[in-house]
Amino acid sequence: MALSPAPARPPPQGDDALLAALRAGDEEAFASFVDAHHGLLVRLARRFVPSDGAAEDVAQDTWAAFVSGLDGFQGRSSLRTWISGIAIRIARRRAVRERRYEPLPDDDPPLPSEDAFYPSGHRWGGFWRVYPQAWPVSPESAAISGEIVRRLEVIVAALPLAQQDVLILRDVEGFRGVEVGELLGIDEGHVRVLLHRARTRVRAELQTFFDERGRP
Amino acid sequence: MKVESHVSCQEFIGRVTDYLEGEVAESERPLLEQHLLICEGCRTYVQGMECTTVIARELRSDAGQASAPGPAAKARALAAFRAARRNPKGEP
Repeated sequence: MALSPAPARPPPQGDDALLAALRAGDEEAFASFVDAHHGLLVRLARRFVPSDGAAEDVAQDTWAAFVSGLDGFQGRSSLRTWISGIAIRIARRRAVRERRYEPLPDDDPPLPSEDAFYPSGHRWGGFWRVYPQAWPVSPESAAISGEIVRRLEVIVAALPLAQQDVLILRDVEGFRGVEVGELLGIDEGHVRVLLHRARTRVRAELQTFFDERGRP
Repeated sequence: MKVESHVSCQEFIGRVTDYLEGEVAESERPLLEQHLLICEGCRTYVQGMECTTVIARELRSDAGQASAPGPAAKARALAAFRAARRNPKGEP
């Protein structure tokens, strides 16, 4: 009878247990943490540095800073947010083009455009002239095709950089709004304004995509 | 003085991200929810916004597969971990 390998010990659950294991020098726990987060660090870094190789270097430097900072970690954020912040700071220092989060200009035209609604003064002022079209996918439907995801990639890449960063940290990577603000060094209200503009633009572009696709 | 007893579609759409993020004042929430109950157009719009965030999550799973650590990257991280644990006094 062939011997099956011993089942791997499950990694410690929760930040407190994980932090204790890492501080005790538990290499298995660290290796699992690297497996789970290295990709995230590379993705975050790649938003700021100009090549995949540079992003890998940032991730490596992030691990070095993470392990040497473990004992000083105060637990004010999750380990995931903390290490993401380290990666973004290192990547920004290396960035060819520093991203600045200036106050938003007022000339960004609102979406949906004003003429989607009856004008003020009309008895239906501020209400839809024509209702938006329902989409062929719903939030609950598991089947979101690769074609839609590819389209979304293109749409996101065309957003202003500050909007991209916020949308990716909040909606793609799943950080909370307050964490996104900490990671980017902007206040939470500004995060929501950027997120609103980004999601509104993306929704409008996807609407166009579905409308065009739906035509015979 | 104008008493706000309802919001228009345009006002609702302007607040939709704060609404979905759970960041509207308790005093405002009933107005927005009431609007959503009666307005099919805004319900459709909200569903599109929710779909947008669901589809965005798919970008993460796509990217994750491509960027698991290679053996060399993992070995270097582990070496840094061992070195730091031998001398656990560093600062971030």
